[in-house]
This record gives sequence, C-alpha cells and structure tokens, in this order.
Amino acid sequence: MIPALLILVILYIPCPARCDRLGRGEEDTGMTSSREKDIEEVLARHTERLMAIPGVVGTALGICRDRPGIKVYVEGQTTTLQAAIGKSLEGIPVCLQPVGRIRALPDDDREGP
Amino acid sequence: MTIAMGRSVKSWLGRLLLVVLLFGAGMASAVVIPGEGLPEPALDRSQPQVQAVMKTQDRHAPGLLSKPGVVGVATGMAADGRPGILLLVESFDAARGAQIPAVLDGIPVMVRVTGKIVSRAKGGVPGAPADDGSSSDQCSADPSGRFSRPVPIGVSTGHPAITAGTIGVRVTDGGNVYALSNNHVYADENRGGFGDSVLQPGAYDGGVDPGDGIGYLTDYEPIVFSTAAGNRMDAAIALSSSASLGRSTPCDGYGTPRSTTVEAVINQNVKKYGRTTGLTKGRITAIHATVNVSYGHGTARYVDQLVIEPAGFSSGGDSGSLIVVDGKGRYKGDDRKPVGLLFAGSSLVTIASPIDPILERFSVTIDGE
Repeated sequence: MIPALLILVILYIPCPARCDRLGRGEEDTGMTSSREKDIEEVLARHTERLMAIPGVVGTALGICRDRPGIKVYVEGQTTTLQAAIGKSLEGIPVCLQPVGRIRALPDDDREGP
Repeated sequence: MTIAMGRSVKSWLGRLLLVVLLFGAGMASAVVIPGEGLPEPALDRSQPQVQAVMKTQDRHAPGLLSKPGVVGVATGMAADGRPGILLLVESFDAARGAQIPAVLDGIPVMVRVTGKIVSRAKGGVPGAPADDGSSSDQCSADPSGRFSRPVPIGVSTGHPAITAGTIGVRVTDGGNVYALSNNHVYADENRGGFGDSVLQPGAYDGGVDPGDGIGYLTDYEPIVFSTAAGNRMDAAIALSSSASLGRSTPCDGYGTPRSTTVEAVINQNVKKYGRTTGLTKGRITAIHATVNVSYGHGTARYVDQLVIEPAGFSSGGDSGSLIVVDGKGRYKGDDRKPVGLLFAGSSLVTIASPIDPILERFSVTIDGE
C-alpha cells in the first residue's frame, strides 16, 4: 500500500521547467532532451525516403512499443510496408500506423473522422 | 523504467476505476458481462493476462472506436473470470453494422450497451464531457447555426466560396481584433482576395454574403501544393470587431481560451470546440509530424505538425478549431491554454499546426483570458 502511495505521489510531482516535449505529458515518456534530439535527427535523415514510399502519408515523433520512437503513418495496410521499412532505424524503434487518407476538413469532407 | 511503470500504473488505475464503476453500477448484468455470482474482480496490473488485455486493447482501440455505435473501450472481465476487452456501444441498433469480433488476438471481447456517453456531442466519439465547470449541462448549442453578434468562437464560418469551417479564436495585434481560422476556410486555398467577406455561419450552413459577414480576409499563409513542400501552417486571419466576434465558445464548450500558449508535448490531453463535433477531447500522440494532406485542388506536404487521437476528435467542418490543453491534476494550471490549430485529419487521426508559429506569422496574440 505504501509503495503504491509513494508511486502516486511521485507521479503528481509537477514537471520541472527542464522537461522537454517528449517528457512532459499527462503520462511522462521518460525522454531526455538529448534523446529527443537524437530521434529528431534520425527522423530528419529518413523522412524524405520514408515519404517517398507509396502508401506512406506521414512521419512523426511518437511512442512506439512503449518507447519514444518514430511513427510512420500509412494509408492502407501495413503488412508489406513493414517489411520495406523495418522495425527500427539507426536503433530507434519504428511503428507503422494505418490512418487512411489525410484530408483538409472543411464541411464537404465528411468522410473524415 | 520508473516513468514507464508510472505510466502503466496510471493507465491501469484508470481502467480499474472504469471496471469498478461498471460493476459497482450494476452494469455487469448486461449482454455477456456476468452479474451476481461472479468471482471477486481481482484485477492486478502485475497479472500477465491483464497486461496482455490492456496491450491488445490499446492496439485495437482506434479501430474499435471508429466502428459505428461504439462509444468506448475498456478492460473488463468475461463470464469465466478471465480479463477481456469491454466494448461500450450506444445501442444494439447503432452498433448493428459494427461487425464486432468475439475475440481479438485471443482476447475475449464483451459488449455493453451504455447509451451515449457524451450528451453534448454533435458527432464522432468525443471524450468525456467537460468536468471542470467550463460547460453547462443546461445548455446545448448548435455550432453550425447562426449566432447573434458578437458570435462565439468554435462555430461555423467560412469564405463565401467554401462550404463551412470553424472560427478558431479571436486574436489581436494590440489594436484590431481578427478571427483566426485556416487558409482553406477563409482564403479558399489561396484563391481568396484580401477584403473578401468571411461569414457566420458558413455558406453550407446558410450564411449569405454580405448579410452574414463578420469580417474581411486580411492575411493568409499561402499553401504550397506539393509533396516536396515544407508547409508549416494552414492559417488565415480576418479583420473583425468586438461587436461581431466574441472570445468564448458557446455555453456547452470549454469557455474562453487562455491568452498564454503552451508547447505541445506527447501524451498531452487536449480539447477543442468545433462546428461539426462540438466539444471533444483527445490526446496528442505524436509531434514533429510530416504529413501529406489532400485538398480539393491538390496535395500539400506539411512539416512539424501535431497528431491527435482518438478517431472522432474531429470531423469535416471542424477545420480551424483551436486546440487547447485539457488540464487536470498537476496540469490544471495549463487548462485552456492554446497548443494548436486543427486543419486536417483522416478517419483515425486529427492533424493540427502548432499555435505559436501561426501567431508569430501574423504578429498577433490570443485575445483570451
């Protein structure tokens, strides 16, 4: 009981100012600034190549297999693309996520979310 | 490791609370959820079976929540005492076409009819209704309708040549006030002329020019229609006045946004009020995103964008909505602080531009609280 309370107290300690974009959310991700920079650099190196793959509609920094990593958004199925892209890039985990086609959302685009 | 454990503790606690509430409310007697005579629910995050269910639930939640009639998903307990995925549906009729599987990755799926969880929803699968006193259960506005002047933010608007989008927020340069929305809402994807009217409601919702005008197109960031482009925002401003444009959402929204913005972070809880889906809540699941966005007249690549889930956070017509922090607990102080401007999405995700570069582009600040 006491350890559980201790964990809860730790969880609700306000995040200090040094918290970065991957480490300060409702659920912290445990990412340090240097780690975030590493992933951003890896993402920047591979974004053009990834975006050129048919079916890929986006890339981003996100949570991948419970760790900070690279997300690749795809329009259709991930099966064939996963083999082409792999599960990691330069040691950074990569997750494919099917999202469909991304569209602007004026009212004539009702098939959106 | 500690933080990862903390995340799972919080996630588990949330799920356990939901399950306890469901059982405590006597809801366990429906469909296939067992009622009396059940073994005591002994959900423990250390149990591999429970962890497996939560992971499977997380993996399938976007797909499940996108099914018709499905209003929620949780971790529950099957008739034989095993943990399983609990699917909350509005009604059997609403979920008739949902094709709900009996088993997902070997995990049993149970169905519970709950009715609509969010009474103020205009569509989609919004998160929980505002519980911070910022909205009123006594009020139900139609954000696609015409509002008396000054009009609230978060409601139907648009250039006369487009259908309808959403007024994001009132911004100011220290003297004048402007309505902030998207280029494709106020500037018709680069085709609008400076001085063109912007309407409330938008033309699709019955707005007519010039009778329903609330302002004039003043500036917009051109969209470069190319998959090699580096667009950073889909944004435009229209000169308005405090007599024509207010600072707050309708009464069933989150109220008045704060004037101070915050930088988006992963796992940040957010909310928005928009023309089509009204008040919805979600979470920023990715940052620094590069995405190809389809428009009526081509595809444009955007960089450094935000990704928000779940499905149902936005829909067609919500373009231009301001996304603000849904602050609770230790983040209560950030509640209603703007983080982004919604402009695109798919059937599963919503895309927004970070708000600060937009404000800098137009040399304005949020005219909020």
